[in-house]
Amino acid sequence: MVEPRSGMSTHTHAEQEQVAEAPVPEASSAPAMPLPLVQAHAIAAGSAQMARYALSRQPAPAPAPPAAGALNDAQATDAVAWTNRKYDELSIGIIQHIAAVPADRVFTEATAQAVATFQQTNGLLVDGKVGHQTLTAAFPERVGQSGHDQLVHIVADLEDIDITTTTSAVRFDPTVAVRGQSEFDPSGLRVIKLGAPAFQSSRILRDTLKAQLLTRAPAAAAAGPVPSILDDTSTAIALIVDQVALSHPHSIQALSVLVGGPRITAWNEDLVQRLAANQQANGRTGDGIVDVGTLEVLVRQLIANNDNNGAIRMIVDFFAFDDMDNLTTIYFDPTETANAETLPLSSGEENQPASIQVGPAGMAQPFAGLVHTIEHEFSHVRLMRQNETDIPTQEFLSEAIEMTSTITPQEDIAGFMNDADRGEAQWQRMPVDRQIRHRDRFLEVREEVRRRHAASTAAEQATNQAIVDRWNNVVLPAGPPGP
Amino acid sequence: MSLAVEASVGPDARWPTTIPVHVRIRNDGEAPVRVARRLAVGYRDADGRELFAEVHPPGSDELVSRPTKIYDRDPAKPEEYVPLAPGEELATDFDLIRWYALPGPGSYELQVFYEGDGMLAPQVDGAARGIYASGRVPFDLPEETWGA
Repeated sequence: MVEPRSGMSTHTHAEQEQVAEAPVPEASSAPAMPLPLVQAHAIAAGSAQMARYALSRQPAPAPAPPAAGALNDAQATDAVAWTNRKYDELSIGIIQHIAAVPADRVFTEATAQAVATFQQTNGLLVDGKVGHQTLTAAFPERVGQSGHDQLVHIVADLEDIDITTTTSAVRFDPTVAVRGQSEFDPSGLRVIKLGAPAFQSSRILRDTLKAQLLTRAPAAAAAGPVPSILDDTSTAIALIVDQVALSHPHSIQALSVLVGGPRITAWNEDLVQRLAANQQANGRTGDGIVDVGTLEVLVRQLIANNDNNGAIRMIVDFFAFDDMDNLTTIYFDPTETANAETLPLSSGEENQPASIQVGPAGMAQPFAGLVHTIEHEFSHVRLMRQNETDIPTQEFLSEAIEMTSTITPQEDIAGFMNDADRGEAQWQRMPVDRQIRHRDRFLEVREEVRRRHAASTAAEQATNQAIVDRWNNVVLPAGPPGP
Repeated sequence: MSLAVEASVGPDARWPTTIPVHVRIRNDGEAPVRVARRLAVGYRDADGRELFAEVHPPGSDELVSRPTKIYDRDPAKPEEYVPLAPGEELATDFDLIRWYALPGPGSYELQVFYEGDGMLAPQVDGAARGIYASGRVPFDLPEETWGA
């Protein structure tokens, strides 16, 4: 148990540090050096790692990195080993944002020194390790940047709290006045709603999560009799296909309850038979195979059954959207006023772990529109990982994915032209260097706009002519692509 | 055609938990004008919104409010633009801190803007054109004390 080094603490005695941290070193009182001095210092000191770190720093808006020496070599090495044992790459990315260093997801001695500087600034024990006290010092800024999902992830990671196996969503809910509440999806998966008081400190968030995980799901409804639609061979084939189509335990649990079976998290022959019966009841061929058409029927049923998280999970699972290991969580948020959003943003460097929230308006779209909305948000998550800091560029590229996707169902011409309208508007707002970099992509998308327009009815062509004209009238910038 | 935008910050504003903002849009002209009823909040340089906000230090033009999310919202539909008779008003509430990050507790000035014909918004006959701004509203943002 340790105490903060200055009067900055807001902890109660009961909240004191439980995570063992290194002995308290002498805190450096030297002010942060300007970047060139840090580089010179690092190079002069023969620290290649520190030099690389210093050279890789973006000049703004982050403050200068810490002077070498806040931690000695042994402390820095210890902090690296401790952090890499404790935290996954997403958490390390969050830590790097807290410490205002490039978020490459690799915790090095230089990162430990940056954490030490953060600790010094906040009057904490200086050891380069992000335990509860250090996290708590970062809470206000993260909360103020809508970074609740990041805090949930890192605290659960620090404490090895399982918030995924039996839980479909952990989300901040400003309408919740207490620390936490739980409710359950129709599938029996838990949704933890966290009120603002849960974010007072890292330990309070930890305790709130643990307390909510103790709530028990309501008993499952009794499973109905297993239908016998398919013969053994057809069932075996469907089982193989379905295990590839939907593999996430939450998808399977949502499906199993939807089709009147017991809560299970892995495919079996009974589930295939129940799916086949559900297909037949909904006017489809009862083959027990989850294809796109069946997925649409299932998603509609899940939404009608108020299992929005199950619907989202099933779409993400089926289409296997790539998040470049940058997604902390995705869930339905009934308080969301947009179709969906990706957050949080920071200033100047977007390369931080992100989450996706889908709102009621997003869920109310036609199936293809919902799929495209989720696909669009995953594009943002990837672009944030790639540190694309220009939002119009992110939006153009994400609309482009919707318009040219070969893995997701096409939207109708109205939905497509809505994307085209937005995509062209975002293109016009992009900086010239981004337009040059993405010229080929623009041309590819423009061809698709022309193709879809030409393939539509005369009335639709007339309706959308102005949008196509804008695409045709774009004059592309010349010049070599930038880096 | 003239709209008045009035904004106020609730007394329970606390950093970093909540900054409740109340907005009223009033037709100050002598003829009816159409306004997007939903009054959705977003960012100045984004589509799918009618309201956006800016926060400054007192007496300064420095912009200290920063967007915190990338949102995907459809533009308001033409039928969502409702006529406001002279003297009539629409009102809405939103939590500023769910949309904008501020540097920390302190004293600030808030300005809220209405723009019903921004990027990708439908062209609606009789709709208000351009951006209408509230006055600068000073507010204090004390740190959340959690009942201490």
